[in-house]
Amino acid sequence: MKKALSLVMALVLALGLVACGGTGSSSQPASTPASGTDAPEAGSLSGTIRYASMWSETEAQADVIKAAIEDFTALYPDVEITVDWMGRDVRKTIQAGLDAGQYDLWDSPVDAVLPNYTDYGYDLTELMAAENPVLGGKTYNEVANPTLMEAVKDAGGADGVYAVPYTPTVIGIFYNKDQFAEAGITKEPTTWDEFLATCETLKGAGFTPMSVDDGYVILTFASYLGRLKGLDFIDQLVSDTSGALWDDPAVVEAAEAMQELWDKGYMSVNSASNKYPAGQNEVAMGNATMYLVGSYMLNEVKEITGDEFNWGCFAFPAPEGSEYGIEVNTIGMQALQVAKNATDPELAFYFATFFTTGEYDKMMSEQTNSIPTASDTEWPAMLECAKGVLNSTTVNVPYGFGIQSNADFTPIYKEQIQKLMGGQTDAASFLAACKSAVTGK
Amino acid sequence: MKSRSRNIMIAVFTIPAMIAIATVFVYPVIRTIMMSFFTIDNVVSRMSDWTFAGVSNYVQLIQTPLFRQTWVTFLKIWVFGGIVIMCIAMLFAVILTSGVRGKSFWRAAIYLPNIISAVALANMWIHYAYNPNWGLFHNIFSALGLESLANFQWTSPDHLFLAMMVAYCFGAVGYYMLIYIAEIEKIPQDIFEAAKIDGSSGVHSFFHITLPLFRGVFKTTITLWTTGTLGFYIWSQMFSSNRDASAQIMTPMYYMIRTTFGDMASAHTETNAGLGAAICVMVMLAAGLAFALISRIFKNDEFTF
Repeated sequence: MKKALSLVMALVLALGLVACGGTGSSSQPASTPASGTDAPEAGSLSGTIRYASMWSETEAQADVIKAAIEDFTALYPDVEITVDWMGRDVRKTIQAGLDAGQYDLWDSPVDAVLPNYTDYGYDLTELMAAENPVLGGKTYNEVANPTLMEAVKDAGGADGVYAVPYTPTVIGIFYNKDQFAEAGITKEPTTWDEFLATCETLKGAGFTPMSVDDGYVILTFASYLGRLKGLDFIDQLVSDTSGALWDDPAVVEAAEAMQELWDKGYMSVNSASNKYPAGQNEVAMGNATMYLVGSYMLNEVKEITGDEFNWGCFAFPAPEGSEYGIEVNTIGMQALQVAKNATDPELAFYFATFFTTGEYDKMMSEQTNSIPTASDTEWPAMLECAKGVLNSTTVNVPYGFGIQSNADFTPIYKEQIQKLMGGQTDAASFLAACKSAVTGK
Repeated sequence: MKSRSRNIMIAVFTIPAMIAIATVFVYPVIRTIMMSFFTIDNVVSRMSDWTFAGVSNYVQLIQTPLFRQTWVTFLKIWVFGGIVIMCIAMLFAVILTSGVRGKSFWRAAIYLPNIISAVALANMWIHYAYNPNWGLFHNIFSALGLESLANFQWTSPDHLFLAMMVAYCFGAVGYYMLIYIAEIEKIPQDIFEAAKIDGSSGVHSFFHITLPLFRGVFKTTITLWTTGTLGFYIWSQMFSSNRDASAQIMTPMYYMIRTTFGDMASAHTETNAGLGAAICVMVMLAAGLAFALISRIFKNDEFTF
């Protein structure tokens, strides 16, 4: 008897182990379809949307999405939306979910996923041009921001459009407008020479013109060289194992320009040792004036600056003889993709446009201090400064003009450029170290 | 008959554990070894999407200067960190077992960093101890009038490894100290008393009684230290920035995670889980080699009292 009991116990234990190997997903119906007698367009849309979200359930973005889901399912009671709040890990695990046909809709930062997952995506070109029931009969293209749409097309790398963008960001030099005014600077610099003059004026007025930290230190040299020589050059520079391009006069010029920033006393004295977010905090606290970064920084330092801080922003200035002018910038955003094998691609697309335009676009922009997606949504006051740069951008380039495309080069480059901008090495040693990082000698 | 039914019972009761070991240990190891010979875009890719690559993953790794450097970093951590941590832990253990007052307080205080998450500890060090404007070190040295030390740039690329090791050793000492304290307390006191009567000083007793009896526990701590260092990556990641790794402090494990899953900044970088698996196999081999060496050096050195 005892033996039999033990056997049963052992079996139960073993079964328990097997049962523990489930998917562990927190999928939960956000709303169950109601009978829907009094909804305005009841029955016009129906079906299920299974959404794998890049947000964690506790994030402000998730709150907005939850509100949008509630509203959407109230408007269309025959629609059921389930969400897996996967957080940023979504890009590591989404492929298995897509292979298994588990999801209709998923999102991620545009350049992290879109280039690799175009094959899994549904081409939205036609749907975007067609009348959209959730936009009151307008087409999506009518409300979309053309700059973002260009960026999405570029990132997809294919002919069609494979994502609905939202919460865009733009990279530029963000600065303390009050300090500019105090130093008597009225015009934002557009060329490198003007930029140096601006730095000189700021320094003369007793300000520290620029700060960096290890979070975004890679951008300055890359932007200078990127403007000067373009994307293909940088791509070759970091991937060509002969290292010949590191002797190119343009590369030498860019490195010397960085050294000059330190030599002339334009950089914060802590530039070499600043750990993110120490550099942006210096600007937020008024200890430095300018910082090259994405527009999301303004929200990150809000605790320090309060709402009243007078931010300005201009595109990275163009050195003389540049191939790319100041209309070439990096625009980032989250991209919502509809799965190619979605049960109802149209429905998933309609929901994607529902929460990235109109009321929920505004709510997202206000609650997360991000730039609105649709062209007709009002901007949060704090981000107004970035409007000029975003809307004047005609060509979108990857972060740091792609200088990080060689993962084995980046960690060495990052250290070297921080040393150069922090006055701990000179242009020649910087170039030699970078060259040896790509050649392996 | 009786022994047969006993065997059945043994089998029945070990089956759940065996299944658990097979699923969470044996299977992943075999799969990782297999993966290391393939090119795999994503760690969750289906086996049918794997492309056979022979030993090319291994060749590519060996030819990558950054990857070779991660092993140098590993050795630096293993040797320097090991010596510093073991010596300080031993010193504390000897002091705390010598009848010093407030022993349990000191023991708890020194062990405390072990129960705090490494992420929190690293943030504390980076932003509150090393900060060049208001950090602990800056303020202490300024107050003492040591300007050059106060302006030492702890977190600049050249000093980042040192800064990381100081922070890491600070946290790790307590763990090894506890092991040493337990071992010292195992040694019967009459041995020390006899030595004392014979005129042996405290230092003399340490070198001629404690240390020789310690060979067994050295084996344990060196093994623990080796496995810990092979898996070293959280501190490297924390002391790198939020977006990019820092070359000086990259370890093989950090390189593996970056290669397999990508970094925050490696948005444009392809990930290759096969390459990551090859690193895991290398780390596994290194661990095997280290254990073989350790058991060879510390052969039959267990004492029982």
